[in-house]
Amino acid sequence: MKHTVPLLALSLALAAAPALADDDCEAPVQKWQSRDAVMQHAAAQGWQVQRLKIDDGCYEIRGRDAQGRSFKAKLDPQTLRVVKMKLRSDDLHERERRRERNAAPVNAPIQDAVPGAVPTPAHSPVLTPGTTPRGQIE
Amino acid sequence: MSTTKPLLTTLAAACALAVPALAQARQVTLTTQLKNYGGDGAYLAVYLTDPKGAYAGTLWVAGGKAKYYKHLADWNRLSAGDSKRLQGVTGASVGVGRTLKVTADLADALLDAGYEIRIDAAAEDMRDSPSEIRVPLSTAQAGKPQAGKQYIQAFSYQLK
Repeated sequence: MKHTVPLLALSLALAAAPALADDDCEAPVQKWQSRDAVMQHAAAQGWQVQRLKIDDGCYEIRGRDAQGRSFKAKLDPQTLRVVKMKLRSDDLHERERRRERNAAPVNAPIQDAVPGAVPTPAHSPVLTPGTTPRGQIE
Repeated sequence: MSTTKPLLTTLAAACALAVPALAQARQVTLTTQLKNYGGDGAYLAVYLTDPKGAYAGTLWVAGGKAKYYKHLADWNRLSAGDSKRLQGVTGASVGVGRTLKVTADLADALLDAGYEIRIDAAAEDMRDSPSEIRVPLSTAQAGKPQAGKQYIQAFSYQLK
């Protein structure tokens, strides 16, 4: 199971955006462990839980870890394995920016588009043909 | 009497009518500086609306996860029919206090024609701020900074 996670991450990075599911976790509801179980699991890690909620099919915990660092973690509701961990540190934005810059380009179909919306012309009438805007963060 | 000046005036007038087929372009640089709002990196949608308030095009979307685009609510709703709205115009979310600079070649016809530049902003666990910035796309507005209410410290644009 350990070695499939990096492979999964790699294939997700290579696949076009349409392949990405909306949910980060896929466990069927019958297999979910209880919120109590999550709290016990957190206590066993030495975590101080400030908030426990459900987001994108996962349990999401916001709290402080055993070292006192603020964090947000997404847990698989069946196995309680950490699917995503975000530590609040000064370096975080830099890491996230680098990761987002290196990630595959987003060319997602509009999954949350309003159904029945009137389509506008495929080409953008506002930009000079053959040009693309450029964006830069300073 | 000189005939040059009336001729030049006529030519200038013809250009000002801005026939799109001439494909005259203006380079616009849009600068968005964020406040230190104490949160995660902001998702931003920088886009244009026409004189009727209808969606005219997307210039830039900062933030790479499509599932969060619904928090850029006005842009998401207005641009829903544009299947190419994200093509070539996405980048990373913008951290607190940072500045996003977007450069685009816009059709000259849009200038001083009732078009608006709008910016929607949002950040995780914070309130969404659709249309936080709405400024006319005009020569008069160019260079004038506009402050937003929640995420945006200052927005301005320059025309070349």
